[in-house]
Amino acid sequence: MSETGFIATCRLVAGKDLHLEWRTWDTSTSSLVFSLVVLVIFNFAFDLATVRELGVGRLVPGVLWSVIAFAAVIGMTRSFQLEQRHETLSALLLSPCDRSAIFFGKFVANLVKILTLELILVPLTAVLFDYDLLAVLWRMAGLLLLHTIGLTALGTLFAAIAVRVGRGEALLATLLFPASTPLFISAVKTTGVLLGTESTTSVADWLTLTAGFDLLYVFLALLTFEVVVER
Amino acid sequence: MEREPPANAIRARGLTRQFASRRAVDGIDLDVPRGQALALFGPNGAGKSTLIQLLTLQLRPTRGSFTIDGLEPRRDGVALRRRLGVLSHQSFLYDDLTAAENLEFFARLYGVDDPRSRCRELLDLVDLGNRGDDRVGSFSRGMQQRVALARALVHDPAILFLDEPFTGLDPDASRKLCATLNRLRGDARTLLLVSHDLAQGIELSDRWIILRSGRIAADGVSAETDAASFESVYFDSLRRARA
Repeated sequence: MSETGFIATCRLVAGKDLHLEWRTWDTSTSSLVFSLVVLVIFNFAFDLATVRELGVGRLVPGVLWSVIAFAAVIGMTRSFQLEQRHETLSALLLSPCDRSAIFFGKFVANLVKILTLELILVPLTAVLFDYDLLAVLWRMAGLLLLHTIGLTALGTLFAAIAVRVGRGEALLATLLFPASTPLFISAVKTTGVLLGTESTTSVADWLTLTAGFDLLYVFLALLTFEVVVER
Repeated sequence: MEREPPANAIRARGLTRQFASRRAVDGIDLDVPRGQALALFGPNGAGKSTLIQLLTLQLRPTRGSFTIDGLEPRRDGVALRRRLGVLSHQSFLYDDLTAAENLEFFARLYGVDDPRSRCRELLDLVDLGNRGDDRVGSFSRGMQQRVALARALVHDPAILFLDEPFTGLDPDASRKLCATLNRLRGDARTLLLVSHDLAQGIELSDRWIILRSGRIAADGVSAETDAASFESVYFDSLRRARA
């Protein structure tokens, strides 16, 4: 018997979560249906004439990141509810693996799921709100990745807390949204710049701030996960 | 020359766990020699499951200490976990993975060499060799519990904790699981079994302990215990402990 290292544990846990998702489509279906409904409602609330009058950069970033935030909450809560059903989280913690590797595996799986959802949502907002996504495609991709990393790290940690204390989405949302406010402000501001409304002067500051928060949240979550899941 | 007594697989001293004002486990001293099968009995809330959770590192003790095969939880946590297998009334399995996928996942987490052949071997052991590719969610409760036993054994643990493994099983499933556990008793593995079925617990153990209010109320040797009259011994010891 050999020792299972950090990377191997992380790969096993993430692979298992993604394999389960691929097989059941449980999380993706609920997150996607919710997101589509909200986007369509916003599309009805703001017709194209209103969108053009307000400017795409003023409206779309708020709509897009609101939808991503709530869809992420649904997805991340389910990632730990899955471990609660037959107490498989206890089985993971009974194994001799590094707890932070278990967290990192869950984090990677959630990150892949949320980025995949964004891959559908962003082109859809471009169609519904009539803006040229191709012109900003790579910068938009980088921006989404940068902001989703911090959001997912914090969300995965808080989802573990919410499930461990027997609360679901409500507690996750209560913890996640205030703590990730800097990320959401940065996300809305920088997406606004990309879509041509906000001034470009402060983008570098926002991106530096976001990268700092990403690092902080990932390390904070890695360090505290063991305390969160142990009783 | 006199043979040395076997070393203790489990040694606990003053083990205590407090939840708010309630003391679930109250200063328990326990020695379980290597290879022994110990049955833990007691009414609901006696502290049996809490004791198991403490010894399997799922809970931290409020006071007291214990060692598993001489290893201390704080210092040797990883090495200690390798020696523990836990079968609970919860299956610890993913419904949407097949039996083989579940076992292989946990085998890889434990770093088992050649996990596929180990999984096949274990599925044969629990008489589910032909159902390895079926999802666990499609199994009956009894079959799930047999896969759960295979999962608990995947890394060949030295000590197996069985926390009410017969809960929810019909008599046939219970008999099959009991037969598999009896087979395991022959291989020098230490077993700690929590059960509400007194006769089954006596049958599967070398020694028994009755817990009440987090304390040991009585203990004895299973071979010297008449299973038929054990029920009265059980209720007498609970009455004495209450008094």
